[in-house]
Amino acid sequence: MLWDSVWDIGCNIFGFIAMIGPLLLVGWYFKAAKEKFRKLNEQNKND
Amino acid sequence: MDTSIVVSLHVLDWIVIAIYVVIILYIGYYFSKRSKGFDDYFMAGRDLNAPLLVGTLVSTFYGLDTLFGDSEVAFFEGISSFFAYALPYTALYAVMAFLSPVFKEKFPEGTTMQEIAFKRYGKTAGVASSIASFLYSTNTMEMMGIGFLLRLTTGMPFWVGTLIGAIFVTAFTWMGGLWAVTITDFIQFLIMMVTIGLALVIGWTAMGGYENIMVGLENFVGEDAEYYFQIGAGYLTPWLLLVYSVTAFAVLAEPAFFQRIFASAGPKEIKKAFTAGIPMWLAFDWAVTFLGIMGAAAIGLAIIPEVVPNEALFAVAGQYLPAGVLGLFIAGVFSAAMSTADSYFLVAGGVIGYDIYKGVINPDADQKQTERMTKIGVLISAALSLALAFFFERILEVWVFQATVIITTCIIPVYFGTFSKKPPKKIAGTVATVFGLIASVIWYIWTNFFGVYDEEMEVYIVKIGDVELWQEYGILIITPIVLILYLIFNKLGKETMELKGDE
Repeated sequence: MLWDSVWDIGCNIFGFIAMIGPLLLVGWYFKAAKEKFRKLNEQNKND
Repeated sequence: MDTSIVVSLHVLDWIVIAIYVVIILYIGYYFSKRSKGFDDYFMAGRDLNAPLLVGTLVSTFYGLDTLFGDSEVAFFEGISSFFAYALPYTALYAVMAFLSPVFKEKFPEGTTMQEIAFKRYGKTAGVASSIASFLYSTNTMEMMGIGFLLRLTTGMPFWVGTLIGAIFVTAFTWMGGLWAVTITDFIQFLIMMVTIGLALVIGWTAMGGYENIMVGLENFVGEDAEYYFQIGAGYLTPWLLLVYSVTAFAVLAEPAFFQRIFASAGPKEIKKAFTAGIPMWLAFDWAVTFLGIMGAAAIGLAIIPEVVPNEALFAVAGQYLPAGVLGLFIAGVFSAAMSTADSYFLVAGGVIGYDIYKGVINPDADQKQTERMTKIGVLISAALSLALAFFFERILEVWVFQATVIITTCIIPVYFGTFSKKPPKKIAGTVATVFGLIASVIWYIWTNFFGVYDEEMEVYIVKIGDVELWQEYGILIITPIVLILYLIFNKLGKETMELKGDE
């Protein structure tokens, strides 16, 4: 990685946000998705 | 178009893409078995919380129009693409983070943005804003993008790729509805963000960073290339830059955002989702801009052959990303198209099924009938998108037309209708929506038929005396007129439509 100019730094920072940002949300998402799937399956069984 | 393969994929890349396609189709099938009517199909049971909303908000609004549009501007103009074109959008996402909870609070049972026009101003305004939403939600750009992508990777003709893309996205949307869209949007959001970030960091470093990229840009343009890193440089006139910035106001009248606001579990959830999405949008815009600049520099450095801007983006990725990761990158690009296309097909289906069929033609329609008509709307939208994909030549041209229609028709009536302390007059919203819609469509037809196409600028220009009117300026001319008309008729009008909570 290069850190020589402001543009190098910008690319590293925004590249890092693009890669890491969504990964930080994965746990939050799976917890919510799991709960929704459980509710939907329960509803389906009851119907 | 020729059928040369610009990006060669390894067998590992194709396996990654195949896994992606199977997962997406399975999720669509899973939810098709669980939908119990329109509310489930179109509103995901009105139970979406923040983690589910983030992915769908980001990936829906960022499709191939952003990827190709921003990178194309950056390829020729440099960082203006980010600072003049993308940053105004970020500012308006922040505005939406504050405004979206108000819409949810004020219209807790709301379903679509155009429903606000129906409730505040009556059927004529509702139908006019529904037509604008339908036109806006036409997926021409994504269909063109998928056709382009398949041509680059397989060499198949553009029209075959476009047709395959349309069939795949339509089948998925038809089956799964908003639940399937939301669940898969996060996966697609993850793939598109991570791969674009990887391509940026790996490519920028491998090309030698700013210093060497400047050498490549100077070779590419054959002169001083400093303007690539100056805001507002290049062929974009201040007026055109202003137009591109003003298209950001489409964020405030984005039908897919409104669908998600009303499908959210509550005002706090939608606010959290918008707030979490802002850094992601910003990072994606930056990455796409700099990949566009890298494409031009790579040609200058003879790393890739001389290709058009959109192909340069893929040629750079193909040059530096290892097998498997390149497949993931292609899946990421496809994800960007897919997550946007499925959402807009659904929104367009909702216009037909909910706003027009249930709102005007058959108010007594039950959940199943409304769901069926929504699915028919999805098909109509897909057919129209496909037809227009062969009509328009430039992706940015389509976007400016759609942004013009939605901004001029919907923003002023919808926001006055929601935020005015006193109930607005029915005639004000009716005149504003009808005038906004008709004026923007006529403007585009007029400039197409009576304008002269400028090959260099790639725009239609109408000359009246010494004044040059570019097709893109429509948004700047029509919107203030709509505002003035709205204010005049709101002053003169008498009849209002009262809502619960009005003073």
